Amino acid sequence: MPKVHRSHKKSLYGKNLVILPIVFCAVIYLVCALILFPSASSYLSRASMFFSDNEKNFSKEYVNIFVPVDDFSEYQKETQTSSSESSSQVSKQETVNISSILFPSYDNQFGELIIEDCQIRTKLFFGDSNIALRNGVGIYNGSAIPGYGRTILVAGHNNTYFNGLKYARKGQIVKIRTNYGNYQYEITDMQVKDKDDKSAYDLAADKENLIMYTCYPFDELGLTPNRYFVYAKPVSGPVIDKNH
Amino acid sequence: MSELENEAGQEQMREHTHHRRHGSRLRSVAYSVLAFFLAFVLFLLSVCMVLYFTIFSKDYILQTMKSNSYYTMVKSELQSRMEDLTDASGFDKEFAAEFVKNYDIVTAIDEYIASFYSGENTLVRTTTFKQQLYAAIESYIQEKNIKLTDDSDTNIAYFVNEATDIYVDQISITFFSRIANYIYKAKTILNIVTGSLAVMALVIIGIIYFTNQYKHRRFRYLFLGSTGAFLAVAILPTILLLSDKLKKINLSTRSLYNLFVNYFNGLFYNFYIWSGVLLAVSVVLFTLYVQHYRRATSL
Repeated sequence: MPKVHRSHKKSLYGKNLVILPIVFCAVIYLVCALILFPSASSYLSRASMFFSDNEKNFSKEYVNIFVPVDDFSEYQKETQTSSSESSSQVSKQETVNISSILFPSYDNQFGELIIEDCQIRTKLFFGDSNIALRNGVGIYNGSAIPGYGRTILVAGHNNTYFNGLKYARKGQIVKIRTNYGNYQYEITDMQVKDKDDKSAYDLAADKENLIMYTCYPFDELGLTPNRYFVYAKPVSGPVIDKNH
Repeated sequence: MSELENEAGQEQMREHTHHRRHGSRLRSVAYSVLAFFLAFVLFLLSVCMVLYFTIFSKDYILQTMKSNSYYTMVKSELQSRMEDLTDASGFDKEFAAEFVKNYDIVTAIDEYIASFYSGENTLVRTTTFKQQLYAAIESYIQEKNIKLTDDSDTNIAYFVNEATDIYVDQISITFFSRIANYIYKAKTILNIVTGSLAVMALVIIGIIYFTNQYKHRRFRYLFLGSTGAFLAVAILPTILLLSDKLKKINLSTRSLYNLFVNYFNGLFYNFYIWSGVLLAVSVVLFTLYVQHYRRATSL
């Protein structure tokens, strides 16, 4: 009698009642995968492009890596000082090792730009995004940073931080202070050009030159199709030694 | 003679028992296969129902937008981007804030969503925005007594066009215009598929119910089918939620990102609701099975 009871109980709560639903579930997904995979695989691989490894940061705050350095700071004590015979333009040819520089990331504030004669004193960012132009002026990230020996293209709004560029005159000094050295440039020219005029700058130039630009005319309501370019040549500041 | 008869009788009995066992096993396999088909059909039916009440429902996305402050976030982002534009265009910062504050963004978004679900061209209508922006600029010029130049009209038109591009970008939802046509056509197909699946489920339930002699067997196979469907429906959102992939999507704005994450979380919770319904049905069927089994074995 107890044997019969056990047999009933085994049949009542038999393992099939647990295993079969799991098997059904597995087979359902197997069938779905076999049917959908050939057509869905290309869409799935395309969809994977929309995902990244981390959650996106929507913060409008920027990172400030700018720590002002004195003209003879620790950075420059470590660097070599060479004679300036080879360059008549650069009065003091110092170098700073590339490995010792904390390079800015996009939207980082890494310096400040000062033109005393134009009453401009503003934060300098790497990149010319809205975050940069809302808080200061920004170096176009396809150009170079000061000391790199290439074109430095700096953008700013004409109604805010670069409004003072309308007072720019030849011979005025532009100071750029960064977290690895202080630079001075001398304004050499000012020009008004169309916004699409690519001849206004040469990003492939193999010598250091600073170009600042903003919309033109100044104090005009609305968006303007012209740009005001201010060109400057280097006067002083450490050259980045790319070999170290 | 009697021994021979006895042996023949026993042989017959053995054969009869063997046939009965064989028949019972075949029947068990056949009903298990039917229970699997029931699980599959119920799973597909659940997926269709979830899609019907979420992706294919205009009210679902509007409700998700309302309950997750989507309108407020879009307004705030539009204001921020308009401020950047006005910074570059000689307007005071307050101009953008004031203009966006007075602009009815809720109607604009609702109209956009309505056009998406109606199968029309999913476009953001910009006429009202442009008209109101021009009116705001005009009163700003009068209020500030700004002297206009020969180029002012062109420059203001350029500004309005840029502002309109920002507005369109803020209101529109990624890929909506591309999938609108498919969604509209798929909704008709979905109704037919859902109806067909419901009929199929009823037919399978009918076969299982009316062709089984014992009640406990009916409920046993129905239980197997509903439990299989419950597991299949519950596993899909669980895997997707555990993968945590959803939070890593790259979308241009925070409002769109929040909408996307909440939209799909809501979709997954809908799956859980349906799996809960199936679980409840399974519990009822199991109780009925146990009751009828006990009744049958006590006879």
